[in-house]
Amino acid sequence: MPDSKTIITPSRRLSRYLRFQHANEQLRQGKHAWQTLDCLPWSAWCRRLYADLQLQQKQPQRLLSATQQEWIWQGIIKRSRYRDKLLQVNSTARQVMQAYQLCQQWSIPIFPEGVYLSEDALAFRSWVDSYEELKQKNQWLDDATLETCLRDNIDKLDIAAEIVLQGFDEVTLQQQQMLNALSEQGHVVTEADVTSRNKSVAVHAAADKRSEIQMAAYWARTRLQENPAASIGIITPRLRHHRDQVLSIFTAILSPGAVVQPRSLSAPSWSVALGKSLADYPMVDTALALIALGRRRIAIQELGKLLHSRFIKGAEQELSARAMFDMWLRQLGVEELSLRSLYRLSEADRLDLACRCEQFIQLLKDFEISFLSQARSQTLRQWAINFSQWLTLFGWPATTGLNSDEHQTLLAWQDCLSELGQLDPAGKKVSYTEACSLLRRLVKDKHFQPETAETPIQVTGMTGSAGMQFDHLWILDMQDDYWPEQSVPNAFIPGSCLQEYNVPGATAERRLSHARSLLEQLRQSAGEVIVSYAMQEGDRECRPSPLIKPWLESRYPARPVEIAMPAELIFETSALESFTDNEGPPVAAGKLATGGSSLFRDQSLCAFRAFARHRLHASSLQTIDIGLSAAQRGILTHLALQYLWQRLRDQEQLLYLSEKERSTLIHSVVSEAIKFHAAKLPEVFSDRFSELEQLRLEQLLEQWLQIERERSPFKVVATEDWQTVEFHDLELRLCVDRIDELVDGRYMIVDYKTGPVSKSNWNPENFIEPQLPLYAVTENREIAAVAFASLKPGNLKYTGEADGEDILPGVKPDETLTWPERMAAWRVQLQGLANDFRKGMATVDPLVTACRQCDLHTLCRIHERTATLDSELLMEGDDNG
Amino acid sequence: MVDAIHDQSVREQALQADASFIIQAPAGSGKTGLLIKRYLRLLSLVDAPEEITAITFTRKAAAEMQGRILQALVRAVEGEQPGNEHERETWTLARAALARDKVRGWDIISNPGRLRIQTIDALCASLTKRLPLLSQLGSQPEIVEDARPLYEQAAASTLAELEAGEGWSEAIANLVFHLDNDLPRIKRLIVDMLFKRDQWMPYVLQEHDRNNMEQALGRLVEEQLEILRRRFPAEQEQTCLALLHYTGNNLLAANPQHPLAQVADLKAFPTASAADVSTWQAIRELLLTRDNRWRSPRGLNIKCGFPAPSEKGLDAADRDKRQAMKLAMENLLHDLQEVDGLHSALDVLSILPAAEFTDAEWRIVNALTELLRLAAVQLNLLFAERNQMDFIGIAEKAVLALGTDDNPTELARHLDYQLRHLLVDEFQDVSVSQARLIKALTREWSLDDGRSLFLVGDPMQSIYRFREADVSIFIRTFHDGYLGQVPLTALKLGMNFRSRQALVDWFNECFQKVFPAQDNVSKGAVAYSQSQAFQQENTNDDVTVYPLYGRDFKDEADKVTTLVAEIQASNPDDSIAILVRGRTHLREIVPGLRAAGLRFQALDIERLHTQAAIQDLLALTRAWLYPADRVAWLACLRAPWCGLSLASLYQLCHADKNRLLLDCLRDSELLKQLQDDERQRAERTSSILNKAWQERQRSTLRVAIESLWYQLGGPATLANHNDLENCRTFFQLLEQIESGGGIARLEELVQAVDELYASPDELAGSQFQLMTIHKAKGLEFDHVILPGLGRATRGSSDELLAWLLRETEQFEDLILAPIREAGAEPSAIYSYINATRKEKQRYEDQRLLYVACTRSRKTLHLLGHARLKDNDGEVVCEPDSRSLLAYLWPVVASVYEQYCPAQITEPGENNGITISLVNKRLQPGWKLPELPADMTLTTAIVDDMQPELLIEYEWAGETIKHIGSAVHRIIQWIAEEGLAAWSPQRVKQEQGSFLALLTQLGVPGEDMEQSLAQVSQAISQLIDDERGRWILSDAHHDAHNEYSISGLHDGKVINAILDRTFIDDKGVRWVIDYKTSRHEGKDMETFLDREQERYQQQLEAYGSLLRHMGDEPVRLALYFPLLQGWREWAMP
Ligand code: SF4
Repeated sequence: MPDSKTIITPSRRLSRYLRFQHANEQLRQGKHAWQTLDCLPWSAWCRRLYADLQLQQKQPQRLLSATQQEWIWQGIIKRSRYRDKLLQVNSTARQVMQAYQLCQQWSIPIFPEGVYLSEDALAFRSWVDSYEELKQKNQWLDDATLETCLRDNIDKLDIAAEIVLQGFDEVTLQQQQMLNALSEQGHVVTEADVTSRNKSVAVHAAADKRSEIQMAAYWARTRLQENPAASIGIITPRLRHHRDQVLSIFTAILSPGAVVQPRSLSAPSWSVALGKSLADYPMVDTALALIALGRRRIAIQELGKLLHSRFIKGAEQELSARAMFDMWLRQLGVEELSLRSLYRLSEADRLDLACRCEQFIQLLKDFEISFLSQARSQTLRQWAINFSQWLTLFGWPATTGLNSDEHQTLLAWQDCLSELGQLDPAGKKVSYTEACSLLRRLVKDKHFQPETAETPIQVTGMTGSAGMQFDHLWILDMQDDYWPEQSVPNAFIPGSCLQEYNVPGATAERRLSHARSLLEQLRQSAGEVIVSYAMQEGDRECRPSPLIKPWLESRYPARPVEIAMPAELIFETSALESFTDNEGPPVAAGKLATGGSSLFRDQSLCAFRAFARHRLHASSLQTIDIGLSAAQRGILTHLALQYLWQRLRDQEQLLYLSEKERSTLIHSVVSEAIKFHAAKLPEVFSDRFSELEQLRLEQLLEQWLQIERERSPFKVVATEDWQTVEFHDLELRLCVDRIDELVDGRYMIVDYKTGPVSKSNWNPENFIEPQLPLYAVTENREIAAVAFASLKPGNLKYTGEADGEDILPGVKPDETLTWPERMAAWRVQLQGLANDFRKGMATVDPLVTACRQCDLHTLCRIHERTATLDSELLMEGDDNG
Repeated sequence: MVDAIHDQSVREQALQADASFIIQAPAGSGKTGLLIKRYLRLLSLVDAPEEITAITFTRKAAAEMQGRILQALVRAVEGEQPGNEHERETWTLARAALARDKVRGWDIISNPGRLRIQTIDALCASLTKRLPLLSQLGSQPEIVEDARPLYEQAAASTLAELEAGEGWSEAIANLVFHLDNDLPRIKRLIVDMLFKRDQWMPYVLQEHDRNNMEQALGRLVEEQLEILRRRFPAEQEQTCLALLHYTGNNLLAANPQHPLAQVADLKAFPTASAADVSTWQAIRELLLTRDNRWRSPRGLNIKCGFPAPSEKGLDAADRDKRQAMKLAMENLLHDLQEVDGLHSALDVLSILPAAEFTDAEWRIVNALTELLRLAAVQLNLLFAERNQMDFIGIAEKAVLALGTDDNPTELARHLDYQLRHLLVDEFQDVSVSQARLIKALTREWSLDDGRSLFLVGDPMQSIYRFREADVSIFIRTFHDGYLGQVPLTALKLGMNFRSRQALVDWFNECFQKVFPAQDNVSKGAVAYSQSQAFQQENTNDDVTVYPLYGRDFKDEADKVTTLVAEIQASNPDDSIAILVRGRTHLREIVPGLRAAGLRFQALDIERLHTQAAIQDLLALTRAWLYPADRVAWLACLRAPWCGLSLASLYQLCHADKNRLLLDCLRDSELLKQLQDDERQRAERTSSILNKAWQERQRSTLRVAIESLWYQLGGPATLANHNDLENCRTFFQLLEQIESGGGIARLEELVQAVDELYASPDELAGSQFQLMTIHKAKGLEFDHVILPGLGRATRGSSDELLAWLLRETEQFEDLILAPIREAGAEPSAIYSYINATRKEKQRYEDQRLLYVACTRSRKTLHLLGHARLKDNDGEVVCEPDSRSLLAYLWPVVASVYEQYCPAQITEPGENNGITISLVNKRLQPGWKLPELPADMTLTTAIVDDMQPELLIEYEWAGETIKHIGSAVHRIIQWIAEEGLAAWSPQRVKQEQGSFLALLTQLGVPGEDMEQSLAQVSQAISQLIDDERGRWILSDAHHDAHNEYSISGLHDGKVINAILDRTFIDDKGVRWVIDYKTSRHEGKDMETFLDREQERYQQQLEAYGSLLRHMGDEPVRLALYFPLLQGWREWAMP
């Protein structure tokens, strides 16, 4: 078209902005429809031109996408001998690709004679050689050489008569050459005429970053209120660094309602031009986790994520079951599970009905069938198809009424899948794991932000801001450490080359002059300009950028932000009442079935704890670690000892065994115990670890039996003996580790302890091991001793109370209390605890260190109740330094 | 070395640009000023400012130094020559630097980034960035400040290798078994090691030869024995030998295992050979008690080989012999006690290891080194996978990039300038790996090439051992006069510009006694260096000691409170600081100050997680993320914003412990059972939670939690403004660690919250501050109060591997010792190494005291508890040996003794917590206040119409899409070129173009043939079809293809691309969209109807735009080239 005009910008962002400007202009002129402004970024323009060229002139080369080019560079670097000298190929590939583009853009030969070539430059050159060879062979074209190709065919291109450049603060040599060629062809190439609209510049010095941003936001609000048609810009070179802070402050000041109800935000009048990684969007996060389910094992955390995801079929119906199942899985204490184990666990008898999420498990099974039917290696395109089919299988994204943001997120995700499918122009086959990680990377690297309507207030970064025009402009972060920016030139091109070929940013001087001119452009772009900096950041004092010095004379003073932030407003309505709440409802008369002895333990540690645990059934998420937890190790030891005494029955038998027989016996009971647990948790009891556990337990049992051999004769009459007893109208399920019958016909109760143990835990003021006393006072047989069997390595011994000298080695009768007195005292103590519990007592009155091993802090509000610095009493491992 | 006190000449010498220095600059000696002068000096000589690099300890210090240099430059541009002599010097230097700046055209004032003043971490990062291959990194990874999560993962994967069946799996098994198969603990221990891997990596990477290491042990033992032998008076040897025989024989019968019994028939006095170590140990047994005191005459009894002469039934000879031997022993003890250093030499014997490893020990040493190597490898794999790295890794790579001694990197060729001058501040706190870097940077420097190294620091202020600072580097460098290649002149500054005369005098007197008499490189011991006060003002009572006794810390808190009040009353403008060794030492003081109404800024003292508001937020976050976390849900309902009573909670949830509280809250029947007020509370919370729940996972976690908290009234439940600040910190943290709308590991959040501190009181000025001594380093105050000096600190915990590097003249001896076996005593070697570590720590504690005291300008107040002890009816006081007071004791003992109470009245340590029994909650009927209006848009301009969405994404669909695009593109081509040029023949000819087009669009090889066929079919049919020919006919007016128009539709500006539009001969404006849909089977008409329905709205939107662009009536149409279908209708 002869009278056509195309406007070209350096960035997509600016193109969009200019189109919007144009639309605004049309509306102002009263038009309702018009031909869209032909305005696009340089790279898109080039690609558009090439598409025409390719179709109409049969240009044979295939133009690669940016991700394809990167993929090719990666391949070259991976195959090169420098592979081992790189931490990560992918990020290096990107830098190398940039270096290559830079060389093309500025016509730097790789490399000129006489330049010192460092190892980096040599490596780069060898990579470039391979790359160019590959390109040649496959007839590929890339962005770096696209312009040259277009220039060579300039006469065949269908280009608008008038080309207007806007917002270019620097034109590369390559671009310039193409533009020159266009002019020669008779096209009119101009730069958009930007006249300065500036009327005033003032500087604002803020106390810190937050007040700086806050002031800018408030200023923007005021300006927009004064004139709803005004265009307002907020520009900062550090948008990436404080995007979060900017978002939260701008929301609070410009859309206070959205702070309270995020979804109420209808078409806000401001926007921040900076996306975040696509992988950070919850919906995409779920998708990636689903696709990764084919791995051999899945981390519990990862499973938890899926169990809570709203983007999987059945999320709402199975909400409760999935959440409960997650809790249940976490208390198993394993880090990862295979799908197989997961199915088995989900069907286990011990799993409560409330935790059964059948639909979810079925989805996993369906997935696995589909997964297993796949060939091990396939083309990326095939993997992309599989991935999308799996997602469909899970019902992803399973949300009816996707909102506009989610809709766009979905599209962006599909783009990524499609990029994955086309990534390798050669179409080689790869493994599932590789395909997964490639996709993950594509998604992670994709910066995405759902597009919104054009807004009068725009927050944007420094790069890409040239060419915009505002009525009011605020430039943030004008501090001497941020502006001029300190950038490091690409290390793969020798510095001398960069300088010689006049590449921007190659020297400190050029960087300075560039920073200066950019700032000047910005100044001219708006009627009112305010430049700001913070005087302090963290513990650092900051200074204004030297480049804003000319304006330091005219200050934009700090003024009170007249609208309060929502948090402050709500804070000010504070009206608290006090109330006491140290008792819950009493236990109704009659029997109450409770758990075991832990009730008494909790009650004596802290009344609130007993109430919360046993009346409110408060339990929380367990933390997960590797290996066996201390508790699990205890259970395992218990079991081995149980098997042992089930076989041995009495000391006589024990003494009768030869050393060899004894070790055979120990060996077999230990392996039995391990086998039992391994069947439940195969992931933890892996081969080598089981062997080590076997050894450990054998050693422990052997040493322990030494102690048993030295005792006076006894018979074991019960092991792991579950009984239901009644105490004070409380029905208790108790498990006695072991009961021995002694020579005199009386009995001894034994409790195995694999952790620390002390008799002082039976002292009335510190009665935190009530289980043995509880057994003792509820046992019908005549008891002559109660003892802990301490099974902690290095501290193997019996400790406890005995009615007589020789009952247990090392245990002497108590001198202060007779045996019946002791029993009576315990009974009284236990009754007291039972009474308090029945009353519903729930005072927060922990024994000194009780809180350290308690997960109820948030519920009992202990931190609020004590002076804050007492934290070391509440938490383990406080520091000194 | 120059006389330290009159240091003016020293300060001048230190400005010599072509010489290198190491300078000891004690507290208050104006070290920064000196650095700045030198920097300016160098600036006036170099070719580019980048040639000077200054290294500071913190970013804050870097910013400060840069600021002061800039300030000096700016002053030199603008200002007059200052009158003050010191400032004049700086001014003159700055003028010269400016002149250079002008000549060279740097314009530093406009481009201050050119001043390379940075932390060592930043320096490393800038090096590796410039040297991608030499550093073996490639492009720079992201640097993570807190790498703990990575360490944890690396440790876990290391242990997972147990099952790998590799060579190293056995090593792991050995170690795991050694530590009782306690994997979680081993993981923690590995993590601890990874935090300091720069220290052990070099040792672990070496091959270890048992023989060598045992020889090294032997040398260690012999060195100690040699000291002992030299100190043991030769004239006493015979007496000693006789006593050994005597006691040994006496003990032989009763206890043949007794060490003395073992030497009953000793022939000769032992030598310094390692073989004699047990003999020496017997001698120690003879002379010293278990707790390392000289035996007292009263203590000589049968147990140590001296049977009582008074025993009944002895004959006279025996009695005399016993008497005589006892006397001999008493005399020996008396004499030996006088010998200097003998006691400590004997003392060492108790921990001196044997000169060999047991087989078991050696196996574990090997297993451990293998394990640690593996852990480092795993960590590197993780770094590679994440493209991240910690500072230690970067530093290591930076050293690597600088090459080796044999093959150094020619840095100047890689950077565009040459590094000529290096200035290092706080050199006393460099670590081994940092020193390595500095050496590597200066490796090629030769004596007279005009380059210079300038190291400044104060070994007396080296207090960062816990961050791997190693003061012995400073001491050694200072003594040797060399760092690597570079010869250094050692200088000392002696002027104290900060403190008043009386204080400086006291420092001199006190620390002379506290510090060791001599430097010792291997022990990290620093001797005191005198200072002289610049401000020679006469004052009294600048230092006050307040003796306290027992363990009642309340009285200390009271004392501190009065003291502060007094100072504030008499000097309202002065600054005051309370400095403590550990935060917890402020436990009683903070409440005391608060109770007295004194406001202060507590810097990093109160943990964030101890704040009730943060606990509430944690509960809310947990509840939100895990609906089955019952504790969290109950906590949310009990938090002040809801405030349900226990009775109500019970009612809500007791019936079914498996029912989610979220469900209970949704159960209106259940809610009805609550009492009125309680029910209202529950209903309000329930409705807020339910509404929010509908929107879950639609925004970031931070936004979700924050808005929920606002709605619930969270901010209204806060006690004060500071809490608001704390909550903000929490939200920021949440934002940082969330991923994908959730949290990867809950532990990570808890841990991260654990590590943060509550923000200091905004309303308190900075006049009165509380902080740890470490934080106070580099600061100064008018008045300094040091409470808690009597408190002990906890010892350090076990480490996986202990190592000791001893550099002797011929050897560099490395000794390794593994952690003790679970349930067993630590090995002698481990204990010995640990003891040396403790000794180093003791020296560092002394320096900590020095740092604390020297923060003061005017007055210093020392408070600490001494223990009271009953010594035979007499009450004496003494400090806890692990307290700072113990070091100060020689100086303050007299004061303590003077006020020592006559009786011990131990109130006992008051450890109980006071617990409030009152709960708080929002008053009934609380409502969210009215918020300011939102700024919203009136007309929305959107860029594109909502594109069509393929929910079920499939590859087949993808190819169809491409075919569609290709067909559109080709039709456009035909339209532009003119239909006349296109014949079926032409379509055949253009197959190549079609193919290229399809390839470019991304149609894969296997679909190509079919796709091409379809495209050709569509085009052939089109040019053959009557309708098609009409559409593309050039007889129409104002025809456009792929026509892009915009306009207002439904209150929004939309943008549309029309496939084809024109005005026909009847004056009708047509809008035609091509659709490449396919349809097989019958019912074509129904299909087309459906298609029309589907696109109707969209086309009508286009039509409505066009209607504004012309007056013609508009008709809309869909054309299906593959089906030769057609639908048209009039614009309604
Ligand atoms: S944290 Fe302490 S006060 Fe709270 S319930 Fe647990 S033990 Fe009781």
